[in-house]
Amino acid sequence: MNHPAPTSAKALDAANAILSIRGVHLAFASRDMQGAVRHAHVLNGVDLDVGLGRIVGLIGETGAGKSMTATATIGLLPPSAEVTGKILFEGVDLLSLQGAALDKVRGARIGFIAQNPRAALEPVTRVGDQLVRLIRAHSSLDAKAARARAIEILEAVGIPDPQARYRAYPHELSGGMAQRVVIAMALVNQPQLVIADEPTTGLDVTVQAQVLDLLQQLVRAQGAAALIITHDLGIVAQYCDDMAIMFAGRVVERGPVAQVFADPQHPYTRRLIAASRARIGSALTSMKSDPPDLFRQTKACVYADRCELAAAVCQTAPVEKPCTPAAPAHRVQCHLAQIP
Amino acid sequence: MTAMTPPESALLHLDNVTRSFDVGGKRPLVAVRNVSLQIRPGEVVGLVGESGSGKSTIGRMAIALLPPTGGRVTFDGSDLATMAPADLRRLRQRMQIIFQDPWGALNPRHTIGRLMEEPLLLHTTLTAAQRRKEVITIAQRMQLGLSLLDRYPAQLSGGQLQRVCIGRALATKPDLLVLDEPTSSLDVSVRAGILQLLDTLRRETGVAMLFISHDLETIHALCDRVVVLYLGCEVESGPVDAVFKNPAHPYTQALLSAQLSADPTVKTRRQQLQGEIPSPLAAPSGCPFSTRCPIHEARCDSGLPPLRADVSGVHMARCLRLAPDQFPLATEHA
Repeated sequence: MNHPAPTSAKALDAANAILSIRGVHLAFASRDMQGAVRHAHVLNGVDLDVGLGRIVGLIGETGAGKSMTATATIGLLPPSAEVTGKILFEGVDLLSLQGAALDKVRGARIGFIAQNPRAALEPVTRVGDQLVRLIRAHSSLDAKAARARAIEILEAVGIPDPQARYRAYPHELSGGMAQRVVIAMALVNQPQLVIADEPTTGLDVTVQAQVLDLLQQLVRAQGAAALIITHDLGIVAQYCDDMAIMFAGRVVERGPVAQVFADPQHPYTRRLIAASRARIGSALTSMKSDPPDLFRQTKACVYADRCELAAAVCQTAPVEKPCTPAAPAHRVQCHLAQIP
Repeated sequence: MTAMTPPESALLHLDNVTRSFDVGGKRPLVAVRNVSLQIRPGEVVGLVGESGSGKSTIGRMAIALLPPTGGRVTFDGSDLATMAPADLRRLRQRMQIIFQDPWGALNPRHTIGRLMEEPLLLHTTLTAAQRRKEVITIAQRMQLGLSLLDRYPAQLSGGQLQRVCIGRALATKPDLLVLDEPTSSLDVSVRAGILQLLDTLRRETGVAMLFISHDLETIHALCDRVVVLYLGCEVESGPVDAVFKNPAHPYTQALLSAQLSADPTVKTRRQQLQGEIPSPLAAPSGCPFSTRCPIHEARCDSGLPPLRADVSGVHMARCLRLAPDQFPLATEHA
């Protein structure tokens, strides 16, 4: 909010995108209680773009596939994952990369911030050494220069007395400080894209604001793009340029934040926005909120079971379409969206 | 002069309660410092603060899951500390708690029906048929489909499980319900439904609630009064509208301004705090908030500031820099 995005409205255009996810399906095989093999369809054709220098909020409820989208992007899916589709980063399909080729991208061109900073840091290595290891893995800096760079980035993420903190172990840091170190690790190699999976979920509200301000400021300063995964609409409204709403493994609506909030088209988006502003005693009726059954694959719209507007046409999956000709970046997957 | 409720009309009365824990170091960890709190029958009181502020410790002391190390907790006039175990057991059906994590609160090997029957088995003399009937009534009130009664917790969603926990807690028709972050593990769309249910239940049953949360919006929506805690101390309390519209303590002001509006056209003007809440083992000697306070002065470092009340006597704050004309009254805590 204090740092406006450098580029304007057309940033969701695929040609401008640094990250373009197209038709990604992801399934895991498992056995049910009777021992029969069945598939959990976690992602069901995800389409998503992150524009150059844009901060994109990916929002949805538990099980919608937010984290799996990120995990697929950075190539951390377990071997049992069955994944198809394309994840284009700077024009290269990340799903086709393996081994050393993937390692050149991860940690260097793409930085990752995990939800739980304590689990993301190695407990028995000093934080400075972890940073140095990451710097030297992706550059030809010698130990001394890498150390100087590590201290520089610790200072940039607002760690007091970075010289001393360089020697700290993760358990000696508070939650907010540990998350700053994780942000430092994600940004130290000046990535073009930062993916943050619920970066402030475990933090107190007053610390959450500090961490998000810092993340936004650093991403802007480096001219990088960011994908922030969250279930908090407040974070999207206050820190993101674009947003994408996921439900049952699909992005059902996406577009610039101001436009989506002002004119939400998908019934699920409308409900999410209404729920976040709901006051007790308002005319909010009890809503169906069973989590979607990922084992059942359907040809219908993923939201049809819960949708209060569902009609016969919703038995076929809607295709994504622009919401208005004037704002092609705002797109929705709904048969019933009233598009002029 | 104070305008506080006389203790006899309070259902729950925490009188100058302190709780410290021996954590093996030189000094004990003081989780709650001299907190006084009263809940009248049917009243909903919110307890707000960051992690480590002592919210959950107060909740546990309120229903005798944890004895205080200083001060007194009385429920309906009787001191919980001196009560005979049999009497306390009888009293327990009048006070219930709902935890943050419904997955952890329910035995995964029991069906939902059995879980909901359990409090009736423990606290009533109903026959099996009567219990079954009562479970069905409760399930319907919780808007839980009856087909769920034969399922196991793993087959239900978080929102449904939290409804089961609320149903279990209300089965014995308690007078007081302690809710420890009941909605923080739930998705926003589910959260609204649970809050709506709690609001309906409180109007229909008149149950009093101690609602522990770090979510100010939730507190504002549901509670009559709010108590703001910082490092185990009450820093501000009063009717929700008074505290939310005119926060007096700099910590309350910072907490309110840190809320992110879910509306991109509302740009929140934030009063940012530096640093984080100190460890309770290294609490400052003066005002607990002094290490992060934007309006800190030298005198704030000597001793805990007194709690002062505004002219109405119900909105209180603990800060040396309160405007004397707005908070003219010293209270009994001073």
